[in-house]
Amino acid sequence: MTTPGDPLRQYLDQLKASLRRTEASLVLAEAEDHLRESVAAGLRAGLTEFEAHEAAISSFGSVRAVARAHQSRRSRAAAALTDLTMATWNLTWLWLLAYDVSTMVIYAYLKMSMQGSAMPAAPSAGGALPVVSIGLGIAGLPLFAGYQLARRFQRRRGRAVTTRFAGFSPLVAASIFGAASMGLFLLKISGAAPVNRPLILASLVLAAGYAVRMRRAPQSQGRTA
Amino acid sequence: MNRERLKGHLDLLLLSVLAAGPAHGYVVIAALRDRSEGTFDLGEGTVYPALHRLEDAGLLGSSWADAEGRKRRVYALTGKGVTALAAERTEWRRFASGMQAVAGWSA
Repeated sequence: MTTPGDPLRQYLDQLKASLRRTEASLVLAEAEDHLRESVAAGLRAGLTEFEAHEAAISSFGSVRAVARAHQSRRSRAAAALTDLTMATWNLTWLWLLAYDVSTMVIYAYLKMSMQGSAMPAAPSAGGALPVVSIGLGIAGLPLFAGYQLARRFQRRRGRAVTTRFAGFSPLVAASIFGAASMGLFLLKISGAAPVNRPLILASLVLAAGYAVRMRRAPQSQGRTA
Repeated sequence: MNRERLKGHLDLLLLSVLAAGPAHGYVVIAALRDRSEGTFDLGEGTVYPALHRLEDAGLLGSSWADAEGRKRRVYALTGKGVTALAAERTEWRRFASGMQAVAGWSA
């Protein structure tokens, strides 16, 4: 039975506030049964009522520890969806920033080479400032910041970040960026579509970067296993 | 005993306790503590997610019963759980034997 000043009720109310709604009722029912039984055992062992309540709550664990243990047992579907979202988010900001940086590098290179040459430059080769690239780069910055905040939030909640896709993500990313760079290159040399060089370079650099990560992933997993 | 180290063996311990028969969480946790003579003294509230995980994996089944006016969840090994326990025990014996041979005391 519960009373207004019941310390177990207070504990369970705090626990309820820390749990997801979908699982709270079952977890709380189980926790209450455990705590009441623990209090009864304490009373049988000669503890006062106050001591028995304190001992039961202390043995059960802090609200934070218990809530965290339940949170880490997310459903597989939810975990996969979260990891996939994080992996996509990661790839998006990375691609935007890489595209921007490679554009700026090529732009600067063409500007410098134009200064040392009497040849007139093509309109697309280092002439106007690459506004689209800069815009994409600016869009990538808040995505990058948001991703870092999301990772921090996940760590604080005791959730592993992209564990399920830790080995999968580099493989997919290397394949996507590799295929993109080849496709864009073929479009460029065939003249079928106007493709600028930074796009090809950014895709190629990202493909190479993820290929390296793909090779390292099994080694690092082996070390931590 | 270090709790993090113990967590790696928690599945085997829980399945072993429930091999004796169906039980609810409090009894499982008390059995863990008593049979290990206090060595395996986990945060009790953190054992329940492990029981739920084993149930999700199909190694345990559970049912709700009434006890002293409260709802009580009783766990029991499933057929799959019995098979997993046998495999876990074999694996543990091999591991313990290897540890003993390398790092253990010998006469």
